[in-house]
Amino acid sequence: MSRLSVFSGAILAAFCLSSLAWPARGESVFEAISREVQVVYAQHQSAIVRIQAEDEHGRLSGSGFYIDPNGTIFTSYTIGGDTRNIVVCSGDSKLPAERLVGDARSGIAILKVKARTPFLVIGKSADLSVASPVIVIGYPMDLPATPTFGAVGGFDVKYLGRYLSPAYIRANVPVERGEGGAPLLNLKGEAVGILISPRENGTGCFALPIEAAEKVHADFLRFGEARPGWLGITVGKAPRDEEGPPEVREVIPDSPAAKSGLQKGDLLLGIGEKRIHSPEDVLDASFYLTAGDEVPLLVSRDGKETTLQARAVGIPAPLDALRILKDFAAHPGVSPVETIWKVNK
Amino acid sequence: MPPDKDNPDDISKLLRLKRFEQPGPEYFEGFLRDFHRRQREEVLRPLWRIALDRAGAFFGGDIHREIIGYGTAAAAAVVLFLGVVNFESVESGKQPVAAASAEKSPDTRTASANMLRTEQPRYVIDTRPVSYHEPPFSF
Amino acid sequence: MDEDPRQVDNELIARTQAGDSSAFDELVRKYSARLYSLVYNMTSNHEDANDLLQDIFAKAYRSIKGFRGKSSFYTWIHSIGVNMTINFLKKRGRHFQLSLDDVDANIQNDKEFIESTSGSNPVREADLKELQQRLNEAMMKLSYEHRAVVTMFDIQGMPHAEISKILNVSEGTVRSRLFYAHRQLQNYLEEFREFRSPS
Repeated sequence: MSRLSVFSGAILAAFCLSSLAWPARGESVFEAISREVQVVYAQHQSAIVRIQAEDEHGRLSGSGFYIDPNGTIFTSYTIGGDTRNIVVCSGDSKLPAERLVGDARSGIAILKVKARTPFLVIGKSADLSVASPVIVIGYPMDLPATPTFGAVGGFDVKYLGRYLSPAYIRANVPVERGEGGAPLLNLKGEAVGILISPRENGTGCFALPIEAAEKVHADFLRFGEARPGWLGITVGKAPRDEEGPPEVREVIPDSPAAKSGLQKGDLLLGIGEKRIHSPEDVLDASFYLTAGDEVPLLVSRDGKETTLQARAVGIPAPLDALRILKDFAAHPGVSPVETIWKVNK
Repeated sequence: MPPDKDNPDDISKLLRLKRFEQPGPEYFEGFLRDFHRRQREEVLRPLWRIALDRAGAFFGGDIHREIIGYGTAAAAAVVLFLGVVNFESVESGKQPVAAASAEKSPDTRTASANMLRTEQPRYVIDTRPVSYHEPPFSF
Repeated sequence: MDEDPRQVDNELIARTQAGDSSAFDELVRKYSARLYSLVYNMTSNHEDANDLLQDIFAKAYRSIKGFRGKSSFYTWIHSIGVNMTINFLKKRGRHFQLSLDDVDANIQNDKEFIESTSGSNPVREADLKELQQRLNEAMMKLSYEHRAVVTMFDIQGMPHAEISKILNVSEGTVRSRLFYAHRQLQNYLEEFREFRSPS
């Protein structure tokens, strides 16, 4: 049954307003919320699956969800990225799954079973804002599919002194082991994220925005693999205006950025469809670059705004984090592991 | 005979046949001749070209590395953090929910609690998202 | 006369290092066929395999002065071969061309081919050829690392220990990659069988 997190009155009210789960006559706010969650759960839980797999340490169990009627599944890399004997369990049925693509960098894996399947409609995490209500439906431990409910806390690129790319959805939904790979849903039942990890306080979680998973999926359909892009830009804080868009510090010679006409000293205002308001915004925007694709760069030079066109290329060898991540993610181990990678080889 | 999925040897046998997928001995003699020709061309490259290539390697290559190095000077060491929290066993004494026990492992045996304990898979969720020690402001 | 192949290689290397280029020719003759097989099965393209093979031996020749004999030449040159091929494949992405024109006549001399075509389970040569083509396609769907271990273990018959030295990974990793790769290949070929089975 659903578990409810503790809310402040303000968030409850915000939730009710945004979801139209206004209490019916005689119904408490909690009952109204519960009703909404139950509706989403009943309609969509068949599209959410338990996934079991094996790695060199033994068997593991997590969650995932179908995204089309042909058995395509989104889950986390830990469960499906470099494991074998992947089995998708739903009710009494167990189906073997093949891996289409695993991207250690974003932390997702895309699997496929041979069956006609119910599926979740993909929503837009960009339409979420702080206090937007979200539901996680996953398989905690050995329990059946379980809904958990909470509100979006924000979109983060920083966590405990570390940096995230792309930005993750932070929500105050309590999550448990076994739920890695579960979908984050809005109240329409659309998938807006993939649950990746809890927050240290135990009452919150981080989910990868569904747009990041879609990017990897699109790369796979076009190229057969994830295809991150690189421009050859280094940015820093704007000199005069510490709060504003970042300044271009270096443009690597012969890089896509150089060829686009970008210059040191330009202020970077936008990459593709993403507006850049601060240096940290590039951590999110740069994730969505695809090698081979053209991307507009909005810059301000000497007070004038102009759009440059750059064509991203693959990440060059000295910066090939993918190889490091792949080798590394192949051995997740029992305890958290670190790898130190020196760029100046 | 199509491969039988239950017999792994079939795949190996089919793969073994692939070692014959190569051209005959005349190709390899031609290969060696080409190899000699390329070696000669190396030696006979005009001096100006050798100088240019070496200069390019010196300036282009090293500056490239330097600039990448400068750009990530604040990130001389990039730490990638990928952690998995595992559920090892039912040491807490919690009995598996009877209704859910069928889901626990592919072979659904009715076994003693001990056996069920050792058959428990690790229930996974990452410790934290993939993260960087220093912000990747170079892209 | 049965000479230790490592001994023979070491002598050829010593002579090459001393300036005798004909000694390197001997090494090329000795290793080009099996390196070709390695590269071709990873790229599925004869032109690429030829170019890569030239590059591999050119690199070996340039680096041979620094070869100290810590590993065997066999391991060393296979290591160069695998790494250059994987780098080539990564740079190139997945725009590969299958060129299967040379799936060749030598197959008929193979004991296993004869076994599979005779006796109580006759299979037409055309079927086998198509199956081989499917297998090539399936190989191309494996990741480069998985393709490398399948090529070395199944196609070339190298032992796990040698593969682990060449790739500089543990034998356990070699085994688990093989396990996974075989599973993948079986699944792909099963799709092919299901597609054909209504006949």
